[in-house]
Amino acid sequence: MRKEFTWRSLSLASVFAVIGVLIIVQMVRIQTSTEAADFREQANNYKGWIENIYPARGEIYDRNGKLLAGNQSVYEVGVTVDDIENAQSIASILSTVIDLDYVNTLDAINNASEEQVYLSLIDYVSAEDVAELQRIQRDIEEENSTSNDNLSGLNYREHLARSYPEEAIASNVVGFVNRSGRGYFGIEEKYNDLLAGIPVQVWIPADPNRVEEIPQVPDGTTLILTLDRELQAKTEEILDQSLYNYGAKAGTIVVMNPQNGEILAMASTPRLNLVNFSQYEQVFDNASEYNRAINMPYEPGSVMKILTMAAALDMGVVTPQTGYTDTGVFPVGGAIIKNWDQEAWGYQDMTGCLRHSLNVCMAWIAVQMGPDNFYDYMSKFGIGHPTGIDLSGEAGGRLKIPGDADWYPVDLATNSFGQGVTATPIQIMMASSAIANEGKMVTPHVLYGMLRDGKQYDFPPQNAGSPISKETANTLNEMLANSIVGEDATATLPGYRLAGKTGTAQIPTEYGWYSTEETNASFIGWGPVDDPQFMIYVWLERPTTSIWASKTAAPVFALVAEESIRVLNIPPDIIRLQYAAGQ
Amino acid sequence: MNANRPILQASWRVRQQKVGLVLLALVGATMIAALYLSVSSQATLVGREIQVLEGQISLTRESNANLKTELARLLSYDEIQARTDELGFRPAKTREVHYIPIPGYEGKEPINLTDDTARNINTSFLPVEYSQSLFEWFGLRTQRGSSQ
Repeated sequence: MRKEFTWRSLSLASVFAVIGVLIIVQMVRIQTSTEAADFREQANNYKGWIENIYPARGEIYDRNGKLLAGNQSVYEVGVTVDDIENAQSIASILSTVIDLDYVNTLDAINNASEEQVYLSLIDYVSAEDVAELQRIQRDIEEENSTSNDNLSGLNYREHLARSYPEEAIASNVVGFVNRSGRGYFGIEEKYNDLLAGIPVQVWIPADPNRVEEIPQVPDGTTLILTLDRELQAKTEEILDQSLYNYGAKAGTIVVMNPQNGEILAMASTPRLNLVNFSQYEQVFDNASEYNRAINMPYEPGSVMKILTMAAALDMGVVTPQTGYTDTGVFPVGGAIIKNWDQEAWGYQDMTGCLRHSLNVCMAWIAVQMGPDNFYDYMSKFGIGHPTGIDLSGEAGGRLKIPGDADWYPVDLATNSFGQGVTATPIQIMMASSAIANEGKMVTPHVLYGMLRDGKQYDFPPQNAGSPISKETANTLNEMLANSIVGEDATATLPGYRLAGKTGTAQIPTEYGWYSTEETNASFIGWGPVDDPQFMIYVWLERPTTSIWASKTAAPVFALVAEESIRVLNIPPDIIRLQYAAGQ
Repeated sequence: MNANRPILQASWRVRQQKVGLVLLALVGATMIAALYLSVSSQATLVGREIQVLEGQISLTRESNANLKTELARLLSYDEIQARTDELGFRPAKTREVHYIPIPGYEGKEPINLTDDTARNINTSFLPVEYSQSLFEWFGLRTQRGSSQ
């Protein structure tokens, strides 16, 4: 009896032992089988997932804290393929609410591969559209909970995208971000790396026991611009109205503080509504049109005369009282230089030469200086070189110098009054800042400061050299303030003493000679003369009501000066000087 | 009586001791298992809570960005212009503006976006026990003791 029990016990133990061994063998076999790697991969898939955490793109503010570029939620709309009950319903609703093509959407859903779990249908859908879709989805579910006619399978994934609350205002300075997150033009391109921040890849475990704190990914750097939104918007309004009033093809107006190079406003046409940045190709013919103030060099004409006069005064070749008898012609390098009106203006002092914008007088001054000195000064003023403004795509312009294959002696004369040389408005402004700022030239800039880790870092103004002395600058400042009162009276403003100069430039044609019917009308001016707080550059391209800058660009300057005075709170000279004297 | 006679414990006593040892081991193991279960379940719950909070942080940041954009839209130049037009305001001309000199006023300065409030909140809400080391705590107690 006892033996019988022993035998049974041994048999049972053997069976269990064999089963145990078989289990172990099977485990080893699975671990070492050819499919083992697949099994491990499958197991890993359930362990967790890798997530790319993209920092929110840094915001862009104007100098007064007005948001120019921020972020807002948008949605990716897609379907979970296995959960779809009625593809037609989904395609139909999407075509109705967000204008998605019905046939293409239905095709995409029906042709999803078997392995496909999720299918993205459209991205960057607005929160309003998604709210409408969700409302319809709820209504359908409530009304027909048992019906097949539902939107199950439809999913929404929220993420941040760029927003531009001011739409087209300052668009030529701000630039835009495309859907892959890359900045184009202006600040968005120039400071793309700073704004975008550094994305981080994080392993997110599914097991809550293994959960770790997700590293805090710092947002992109927030930038504060020197722009004043009010002045920018007003400047754009004035520019648009001026193009209409004077029948100009395009234009640009820049307002800068000549004492520190801060750009207060920079308007250019045409402008892109940044909310619809995809219309870029419909708005612009080429990239240089995006911001004419920095991208498009042109022959500026007589606004260059102030640089010629500055150089001559600084060299001591002339003084304000130096006399010149204008006969209306000046032969140089085998060519004849004539005045804008083809007339002779007789005896003039240097202020008269500027007031009447005499080409002949300027050509004579340049010849007196000699090519080496003239071009040396122009180079010191930065003509022919980019200014280094912190906006993408700045053009350098062209200043031919002796020794260049295409330089001829007559170029010395024509360059003295701004023909045969190309420069951007911002280059002329930087050069002229030396005259308004006691000989010290400032680098124009748009970035005022940046905000990082809760701290604001402001950028100091950058000196771009001193091409002329303080005495020369002050002398020329007075000459320009006196000259503006006569010929360019449309550029004056009651109560404020301003300095400035017109520039009417002929436009070279594709055949090599200058057009007789079309001009570029420009004006550069600043004020108040004793303490310049704004410098304004106006360029109207091919105005049709009048070819002369004194009739087109000069009054525009006055309008922008008035707005600048109002926005910047600059009291009339008499009040300001009385207050300064009383202190 | 023979002094060398071995004294054996009663068999029931030996069994009792063995059973007692087994029970002791069982109770010990049960306590360790219960402790492990308690700690691991708490850790799991906290882990899940962290995941939920991280999700909430993400949502709050998105909501914050949305609100900033919405506010900026409401205060955008075009909106303000439309509202001032409705109210019958217009920009003043230079000759209509009266200036009153104020000694010491240097004019409007550009904005400073440094978020002092947020920094203060972070430091004031986090109890010092979470950031100080044992030595710092001891030093602080010693200082307090000596100053009292």
